[in-house]
Amino acid sequence: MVVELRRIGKQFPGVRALHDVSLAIARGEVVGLCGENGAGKSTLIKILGGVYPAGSYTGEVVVDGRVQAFRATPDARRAGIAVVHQELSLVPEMSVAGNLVLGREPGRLGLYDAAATEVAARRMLARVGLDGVDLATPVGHLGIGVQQVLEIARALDEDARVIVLDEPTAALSEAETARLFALVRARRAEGAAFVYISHRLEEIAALCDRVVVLRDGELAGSCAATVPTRTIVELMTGKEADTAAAAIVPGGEVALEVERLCVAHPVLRDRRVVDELSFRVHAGEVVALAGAMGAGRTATLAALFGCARSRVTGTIRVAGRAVTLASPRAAIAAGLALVPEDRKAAGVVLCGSVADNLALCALGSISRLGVVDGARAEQLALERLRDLTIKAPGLGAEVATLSGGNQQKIAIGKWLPLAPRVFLLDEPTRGVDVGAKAELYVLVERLLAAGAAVVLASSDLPEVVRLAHRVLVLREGKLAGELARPAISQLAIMQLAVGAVEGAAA
Amino acid sequence: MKLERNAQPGRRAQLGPWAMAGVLATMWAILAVLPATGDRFLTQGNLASLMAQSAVLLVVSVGMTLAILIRGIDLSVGAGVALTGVIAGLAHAKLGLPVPLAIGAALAAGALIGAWHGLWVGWLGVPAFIVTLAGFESYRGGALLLAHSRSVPMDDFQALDRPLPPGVTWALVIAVLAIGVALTLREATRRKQLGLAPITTSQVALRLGGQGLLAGIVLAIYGGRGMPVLVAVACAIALGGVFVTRRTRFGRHLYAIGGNPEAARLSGIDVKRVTLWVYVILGVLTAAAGVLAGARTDDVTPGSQGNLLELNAVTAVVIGGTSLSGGRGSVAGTVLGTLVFGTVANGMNLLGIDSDWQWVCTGMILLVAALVDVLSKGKRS
Repeated sequence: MVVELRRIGKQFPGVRALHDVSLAIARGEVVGLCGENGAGKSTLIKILGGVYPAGSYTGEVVVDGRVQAFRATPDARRAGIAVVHQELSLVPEMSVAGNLVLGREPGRLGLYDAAATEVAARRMLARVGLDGVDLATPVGHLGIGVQQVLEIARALDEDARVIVLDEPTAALSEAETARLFALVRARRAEGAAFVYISHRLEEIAALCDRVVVLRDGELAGSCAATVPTRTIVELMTGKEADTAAAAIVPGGEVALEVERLCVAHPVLRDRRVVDELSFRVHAGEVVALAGAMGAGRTATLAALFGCARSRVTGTIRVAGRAVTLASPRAAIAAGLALVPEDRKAAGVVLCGSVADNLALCALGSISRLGVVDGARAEQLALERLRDLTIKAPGLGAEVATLSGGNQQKIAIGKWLPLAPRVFLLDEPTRGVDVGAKAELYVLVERLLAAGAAVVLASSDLPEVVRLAHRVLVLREGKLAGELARPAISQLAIMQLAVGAVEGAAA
Repeated sequence: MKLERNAQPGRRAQLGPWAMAGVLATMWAILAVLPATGDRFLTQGNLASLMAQSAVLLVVSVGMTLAILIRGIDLSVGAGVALTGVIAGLAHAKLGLPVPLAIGAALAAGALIGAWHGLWVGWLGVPAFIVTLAGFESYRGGALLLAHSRSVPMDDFQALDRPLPPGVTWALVIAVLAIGVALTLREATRRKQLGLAPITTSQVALRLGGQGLLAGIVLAIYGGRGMPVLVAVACAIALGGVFVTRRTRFGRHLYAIGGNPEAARLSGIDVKRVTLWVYVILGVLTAAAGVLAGARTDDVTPGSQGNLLELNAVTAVVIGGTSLSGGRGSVAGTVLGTLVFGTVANGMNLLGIDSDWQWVCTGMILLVAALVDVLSKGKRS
């Protein structure tokens, strides 16, 4: 036994986050930790990692038979526990090398040894197969996927015996995920233990030896990772899972028409992140953009919403009318709505109230001479709260206090008063638990039924298969192939994305 | 300033400091060429007085850079300069402490003030702006109370304003240059040792040349008559600041905390302790500035000593390319910012322009510097 959590309980003001949770992790074991958002997974690993100091919780953290009292993260590290947090804990302004050694800078007498740092950084990068990355680049210039791998590289380098990975693949491409799995297996063979948290149950099944499920802060069950996904989902939600696929068949008029869309690379002038992309989306239809990280999914949506960071060319027609989408304002006026990839940074105003967020896009219609009709705003928010089943303590609650799924419902719900023709959804269920995911899918289907068109950019293949009527698979900015129901499958998408087969236009 | 290494393509040079070095060089060139100032600007006497005028501001600005790097600020330094100056003066005049002990008392008071700020900012979580705004009010009051609203004589501290013997000046400059050369060469050999892409010979030459040029300028100004003690102290503090921010773990942690405090905490950096140390250092530097300012003016007038110093320091730091949102900037930039600030005053004075215009001009330069910061940020994302 390497690490044992004994009867852990944790209380936040007014909320019981964890109650009587016990968990033992053995040498060379990969334990999957599942649970809906708010089930207590993050709290549990923050206790294990020393983020919540001893004394702020009940129960015991035991390493190699000795009860530990971590005061802060370095104590946990010394005990051999490394945590890769879900929120990236990198400093965007600092270089790749600086981030990799952050908090453990090499050097004597408090001096910083730049040369030794470079050696250490190269070793860590080689280990995760990122040799090509320039050590001096500020981390903020890199894609989220690369940043995630850097974070993992940092944790793997410490000679940690228990490594906690919290949603490590949320931002990874399939290839990067495969490499991560190989790394985990290699370290496991050396005797390291892992706690692996993911909403992607197929990953848990592929990687883990055992699954532990939390529900509402309590241990809901523990089983072998080979059990059917359905069983795990039922443990997580406490109810039978609903997996019915969308049945609505699109047949509406063309809502969005994109012709020869090109987006220049923001830095390299001679490259394009989106290259001559043309497609149409009908009312009531979901067209998904699939492909590896950096294939141009997000860049396409940004271009359509007038917020690309580089030059955009091409023709865009909304409901048959050619439009110039030079800014988000123009895009909104044309009937587009974007639900962005990074919900916390761009989708909602975290420190704003539920009511304020839901009224954000409707302010024009509920105010006169610039004065907002507060009662009307409240009424609007209440309606939305009810019909989107947003779980919030009240209209005045800060959005930051809600779960990811409920935040995402708000990020979508704020657009509804404008009745957009086309929704651009970028990773709409990233970091959202299974139950909320199903609810979001139902919400998307309601948008379709109301006559909206949806462009979905997603790296979650089961999600693409579940929602999309047609899939455009992108590779390095170009259309690699198109799939339509019933030919859509994860395998078919993957083959096109990695270039295993030549795509045939459907 | 960081030199670009070809071993690390893709590194973007920090625009701010380089731009300001250009601005400073241009200002000096114009002042050296203009008929009205040409014969007076680039003289030993004028440059020496420019340095002496900038010394106090420089000492405070170096400390302010550290605070701003971790997303903090200190609005109390002007009042702190008055209070610590009064403490030094009274400790000598009233308590009869010898001058070195009186200076020690002032520095200790500065450290205490800094620790007080660090406690409020780091542990109690009160914004630095508020904590130090409170200090801005109360330290001024404290200085007036201690001094009974009267000027405190500082005549016995005048040694600080006198020049070192030329021989000592030469020895100091050459010692500092030797350290700089040694550090540069050591880095080059260490990189070779560890099998890293080497710094090219031309880059080593460029760096060594830069260091030699700086030493040459300093010796040209002070080699003959000797460097005043307060300028030497200010230079030492600036060099120390450059070293600490660039070459120590503590310095790296400042950038990490300013860039992403949560990431810094999760990486095992003790954010509270670093914050405390930053304010303690800033407090000690404020006290040093208090003593130096008193020595320069022969007395401390508690009601007006250090007025506006805090805002001038923030101005110098921002002109030097340090971002008010933390995580980006350098002490070297701050040195340039301080010199730009001093040159504006000096140049206007030589041109016979009403000194009121100096404020207008400084304000414009501040705006340009802030614009450079915003533009370079925009490029990043």
